[in-house]
Amino acid sequence: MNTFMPTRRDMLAQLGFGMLGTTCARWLPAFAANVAASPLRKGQCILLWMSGGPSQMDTFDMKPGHANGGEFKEVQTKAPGLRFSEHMPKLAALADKLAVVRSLSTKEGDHERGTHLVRTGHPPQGEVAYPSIACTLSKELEMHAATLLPSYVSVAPVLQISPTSFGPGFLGPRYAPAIVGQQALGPQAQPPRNNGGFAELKLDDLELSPGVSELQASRRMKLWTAMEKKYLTAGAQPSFEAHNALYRKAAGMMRPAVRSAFDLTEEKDDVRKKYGPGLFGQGCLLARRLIERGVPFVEVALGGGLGWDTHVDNFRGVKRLSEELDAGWASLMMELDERGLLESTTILWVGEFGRTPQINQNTGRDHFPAAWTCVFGGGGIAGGQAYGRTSADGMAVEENQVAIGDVLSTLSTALGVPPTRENNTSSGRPIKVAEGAPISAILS
Amino acid sequence: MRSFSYFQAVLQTGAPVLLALALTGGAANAADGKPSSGEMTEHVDQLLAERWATEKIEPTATSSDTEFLRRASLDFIGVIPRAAEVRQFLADKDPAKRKKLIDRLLASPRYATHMATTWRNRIIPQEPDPSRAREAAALQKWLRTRFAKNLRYDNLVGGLLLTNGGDEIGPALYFQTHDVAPEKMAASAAELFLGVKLQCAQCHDHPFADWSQRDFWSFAAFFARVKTPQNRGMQMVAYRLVDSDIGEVHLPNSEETVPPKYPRGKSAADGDGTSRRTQLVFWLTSRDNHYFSRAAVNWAWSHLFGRPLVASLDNIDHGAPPANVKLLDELAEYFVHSGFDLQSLWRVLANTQAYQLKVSAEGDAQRDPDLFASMLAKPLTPEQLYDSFLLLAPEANAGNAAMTGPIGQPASSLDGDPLRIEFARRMRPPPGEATEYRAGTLQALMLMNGKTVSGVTAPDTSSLLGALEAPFMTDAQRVESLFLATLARTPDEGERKLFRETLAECKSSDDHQRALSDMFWALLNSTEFAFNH
Repeated sequence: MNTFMPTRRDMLAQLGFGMLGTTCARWLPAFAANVAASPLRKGQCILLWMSGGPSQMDTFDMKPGHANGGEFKEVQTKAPGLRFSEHMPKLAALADKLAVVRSLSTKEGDHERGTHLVRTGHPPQGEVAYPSIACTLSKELEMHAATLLPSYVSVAPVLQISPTSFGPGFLGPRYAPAIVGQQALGPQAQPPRNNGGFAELKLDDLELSPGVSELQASRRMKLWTAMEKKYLTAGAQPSFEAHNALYRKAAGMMRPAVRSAFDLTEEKDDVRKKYGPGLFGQGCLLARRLIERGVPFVEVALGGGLGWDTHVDNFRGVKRLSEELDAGWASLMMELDERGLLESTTILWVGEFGRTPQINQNTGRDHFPAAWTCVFGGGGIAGGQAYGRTSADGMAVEENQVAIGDVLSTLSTALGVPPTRENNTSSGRPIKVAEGAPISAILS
Repeated sequence: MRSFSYFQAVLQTGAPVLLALALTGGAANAADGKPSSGEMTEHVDQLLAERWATEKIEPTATSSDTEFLRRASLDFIGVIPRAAEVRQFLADKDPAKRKKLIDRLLASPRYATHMATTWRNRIIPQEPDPSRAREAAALQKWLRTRFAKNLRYDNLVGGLLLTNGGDEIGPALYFQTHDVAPEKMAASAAELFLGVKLQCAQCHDHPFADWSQRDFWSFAAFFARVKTPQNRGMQMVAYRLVDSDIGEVHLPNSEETVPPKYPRGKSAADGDGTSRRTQLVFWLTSRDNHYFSRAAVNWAWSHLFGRPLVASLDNIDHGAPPANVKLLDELAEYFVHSGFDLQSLWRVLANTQAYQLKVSAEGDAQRDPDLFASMLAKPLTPEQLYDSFLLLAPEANAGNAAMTGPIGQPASSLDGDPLRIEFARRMRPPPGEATEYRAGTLQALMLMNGKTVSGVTAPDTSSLLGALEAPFMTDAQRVESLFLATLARTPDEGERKLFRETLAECKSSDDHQRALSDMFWALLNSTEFAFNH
């Protein structure tokens, strides 16, 4: 038992009432190291969400030589026998850390319903407002996390498709994601770029509101602290303490030393370029910074609206997205690995469904939930393998078919959260983290 | 004989209700020896005092005038009082001023708005889907107009459950969000109007009470014949709810049809031309249905006191304090005899000694909360926060087209205010006890740095801060006004000193203005502001 490990509560108490001092910045890294060594520690998670439904046939489950195969070449990866598309060379070099699940089969072929199914584990029906798996898992992981930052940061989500699938459902807004760089729907929606040409990412409400100076901020906290001290001494309601503690935590999050986690200008330009200048690349870089600082759950979306929805001109679209994916994801894995964090960070790459093996008359591929692919990587995952198999034409699962519940259970298990853990709805109905069986073959 | 359509017409207009009840031999009147609200208040005081004496419990002291004014305002009209109201109330020497305050609050248009918000959130606990914003606003309006004329509670509930949709898109939303599914309607109606959590019995016999799975499904059978006719072709037809002659429920995993039967009562029969839904409403809202009146009173009590008299009506004879059950039953009887008069019930409760008590302070002995010997502090709801912010800075919402009504009359324009809906969506706490504070850091950050509070406290947009800049005001008066406007009390000596010194340190008039804004911010973000105590 490590008696030097401070609890989250101790840590917050040490922060005291002050807001603008930066003294805690120096002991934060030491604290993080302590936490990393603790056996109680759970994993951290990165969800790479592929909005629109990525084509498995042109990425991780290629069918070269078949009429359905398309125009991309397949190349050998670092893992023997595992082959990816030619447009993801950096990920191919990391394939020993990736487990490709090629036998996912679901029943929802509509963007809204598919998004709901994959993100919550349940089809959209019934009176239960199911939380997104990200909210559920971040709730479990935050109990063991040591960070002043939000427990779930979501970068560049497209919420319009199925707003409820991105939210905390019956868990309540307490477990809602902190959203950075929300995307609008449609091709005309360009993310803002700064003068270096990089996508801008900003967390709402973490900065002082416009027009409020640092001097004012310190005056506000001084007055607030005095009011609070008096009021909390006079009354002894636990709910008052809860309110006060929450504000102190939020004030802690606003400290320059803490909120600078979101300041990507602290990174060198060549690092920023390596990840790719777009929302996804910069989001992956932000994910690395947040994982370094102990944030339990980070999600980064790729697809600019429904970018992976390649009904038309599939190959041009997938090539471009693959390159963006390759730069961001591979850089993220490499840099986490260099820092010793990849072994405790589980990554899941998934969209709402796959795409038809047949190529349509517009050189596109349509929605296809019957046989598709997701990819796991990093902590708790036995990499370098493909699990399950589709038929030669890609139309059906031939071996080891898995359902979405199995995928979410696998993620949960890899993170050290038993998928059978339950939360109760307001009517007292228990809901499991995930239904289904973990895929033990890809767990390490 | 009551015909279905006549009964419906009565429910919808509200006005001929007394006539209808006279015909069917119902309503009580003042002449039959029933207690007045004042007598009932005394009776409640007496029952609680006896209980405190038996338990050897000393209740907390009586709340101060400012505490009471803020408390009653938040509970009845959903906003904090204005600074001027606090000054008037403090200056008022009338010994009956608290009683008169309650009367004033119940007559305010904001009473109806606050009750409509409260009930909309009860009826549809999850935030309405943004695509149904129009229906949600209509439901808010539908409820508001009924609370505004103090429609009998039984008629309010009957009108909701018997809606045919069409033009009534508001109440139809209740059915719509429950997918017009008999089991979902049954679970919701049982919890709201009978105070019974029947939904456990949907899948198995109730674990704690003697509600069987069959009881649940025989209750659900009353909703089995409510149908939504499909729209024809591409023509948009309003959402309608009709009572069909067919439709049954079955026990899960069984072909067995379960006929309608009143909970703990007799079976209902089809075939005399009265729809199952109508039969249910007759039974549900009847004077003899103790569940109905108990559930209403239990809710009203918890609205004011932060916790219900009896935790659950599922199994009232086991576990609930018998004294509280007795109190609940007597209040329920009063409510029935008053003609389900909600305002009369509020007068009884708000004038009790228990409602005047202070929140317990440090050093007080731990009291059993079921004794109601001290007031429990309740966090402000998202709508109470938003509406109070808006009261402090109506112009902060000036860009909103829905807010064009005259200041002081914003009651109707709040029905569909998109900023209010968005604020509530992001601030709504997870389900739990009314007295617990359950927000997260994102909610705190939103209040500290978000648009809403920033708009209220910015020196250039805040009308309150603008008024404080008047040259004839002293700093002491400015500080006092800020305290009155936010915490509805005057500052104590320490606070006066701190705030005045802060203003005295300012080196420019610009900084002085900013310092006032900072004070306003600190008060709005204080724990004291965040609670109704």
